[in-house]
Amino acid sequence: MTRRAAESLADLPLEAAAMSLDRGETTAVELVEAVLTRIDRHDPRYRAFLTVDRGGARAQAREADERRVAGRSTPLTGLPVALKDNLLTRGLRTTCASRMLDSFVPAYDATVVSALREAGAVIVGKTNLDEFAMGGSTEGSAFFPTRNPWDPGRVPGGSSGGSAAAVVFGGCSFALGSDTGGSVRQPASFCGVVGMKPTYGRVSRWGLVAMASSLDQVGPLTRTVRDNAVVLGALSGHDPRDSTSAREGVPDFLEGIEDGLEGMTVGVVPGLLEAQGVAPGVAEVFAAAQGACRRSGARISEVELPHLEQGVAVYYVICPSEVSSNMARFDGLRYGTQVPGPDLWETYRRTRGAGFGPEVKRRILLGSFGLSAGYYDAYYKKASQVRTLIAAGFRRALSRCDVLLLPVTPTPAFRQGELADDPLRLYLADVFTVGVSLAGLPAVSLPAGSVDGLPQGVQLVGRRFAEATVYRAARALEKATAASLADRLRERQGDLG
Amino acid sequence: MAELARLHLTDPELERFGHELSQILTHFATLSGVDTEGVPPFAHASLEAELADDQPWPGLTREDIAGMAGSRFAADGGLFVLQGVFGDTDR
Repeated sequence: MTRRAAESLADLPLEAAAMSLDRGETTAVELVEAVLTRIDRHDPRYRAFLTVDRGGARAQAREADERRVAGRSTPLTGLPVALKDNLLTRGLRTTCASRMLDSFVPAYDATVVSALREAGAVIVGKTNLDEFAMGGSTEGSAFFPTRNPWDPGRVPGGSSGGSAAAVVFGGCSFALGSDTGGSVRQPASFCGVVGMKPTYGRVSRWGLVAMASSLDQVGPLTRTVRDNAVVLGALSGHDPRDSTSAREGVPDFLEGIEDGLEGMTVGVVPGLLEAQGVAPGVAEVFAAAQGACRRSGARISEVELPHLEQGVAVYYVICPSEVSSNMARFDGLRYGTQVPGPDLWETYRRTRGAGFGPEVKRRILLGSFGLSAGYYDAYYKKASQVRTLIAAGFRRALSRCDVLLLPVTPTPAFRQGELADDPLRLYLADVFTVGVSLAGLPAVSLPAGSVDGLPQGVQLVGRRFAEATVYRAARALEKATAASLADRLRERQGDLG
Repeated sequence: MAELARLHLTDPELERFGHELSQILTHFATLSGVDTEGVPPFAHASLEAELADDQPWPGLTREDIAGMAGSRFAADGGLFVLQGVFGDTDR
């Protein structure tokens, strides 16, 4: 195999790479070398990775090849994976992109990481994120920003920006991110990859550094819809270590995935895009996606989501409240950074003052305020009641359709630094993703077209635990729009060079 | 608020956050206009009051903890070394 051909293994969708491995056309060792070569070539520019474990990855690849020969492989054996750096990896530095944990090495794996190891996936490294997963651009990383591979002057989105970028340039065959208010779906849209936020409780949160405990979910970022379904299948299921993980059975997410949109009803909210000031290009991509659904045989049904607009305010009261509680563990006493003071209280103050970046501090302050005596009823409790209304609104809408078609973001990827000084504007850009998180529903973002040459996604939302239905609709839309990563890379004639 | 959250903020930070948070909180005042009479606070339907099986499973060893805590942990005694909670600077 020529060097170029060998390196292009890094661009293969997961299923194609697995087939190549099964047929003996390539080995896990060759595949991981292709991925590591890509990282060497592209990561200095895009900066998706915080930690790359070359030695560990090569050793895991050798084991994966042995496992395949012994007939004990799974669909993920030998496939290189990049993990968002808020997922604990035993023996491998986990920073959450924060100075608070910049030298922290966990003593245990997150449940999803154990699942990937057991399946024989090859962990290549840890990817960049907004600090403690708080943000929508990955500019909030305490170390450095990640750049969008389609235009390095733009953001890859966030908070799972590193994972999304790594999938684009071949730094992995697939990646894991986490989504609390859109942090898998939005970077998926900005980077032209497929990102899924599962139903709350579908995937264990054990070992995912907690941000907002009633919202967080781990989700895959992949090149294709089918790849995403394969990965989610390996991650899903009840975990006795996570009392919020559901006892719901896990279906085969690939079953029925090719059944198409015939016979399905897709719900759309009339006037939604105009009301939210969506950029014209984004509206065109959305309209084209809606047309593609109709031409593929779906019935389009008009539905209402009456409280969607309040979603941002609700989210940015509830999320910081839960954040302020979850961040209390970072006190410098048992692990992580410590800045000692003359007494315990000063140690807390200095450690947290130095260890946390501005967005984390902002959310801790907002959250402490919303929960404090005298304000709890007006803020947290009120937000929680409106959350019930939002969830009920989604349930009603989804009683009249199988999936909802929504935008993901009001604009394509914005420029680095453009929203850095305007936290409120950054929050308002989450209007299409946070409501779904508040309701705990599954949603996928998949690329559906371009705006000024940049990828743009659309979002499909399903009922609770109906990921298979969401994947079926997404697969049909992926075929109809021909806007997948592979399609885009083919247009650009090869890799990003 | 910074005191409550045990966060040391510099003067420029105090000023910047004060301004930003005022803007954010003003926006969120829109929630007060929503009629929530009789609406219960949200709870995920999947959270049933389930108890875990009473089966022990391995936790962290002292070595694991020492690896993460460094000099803050006295492994021989199995205790963390802290500054006093109560003292002359009682808050």
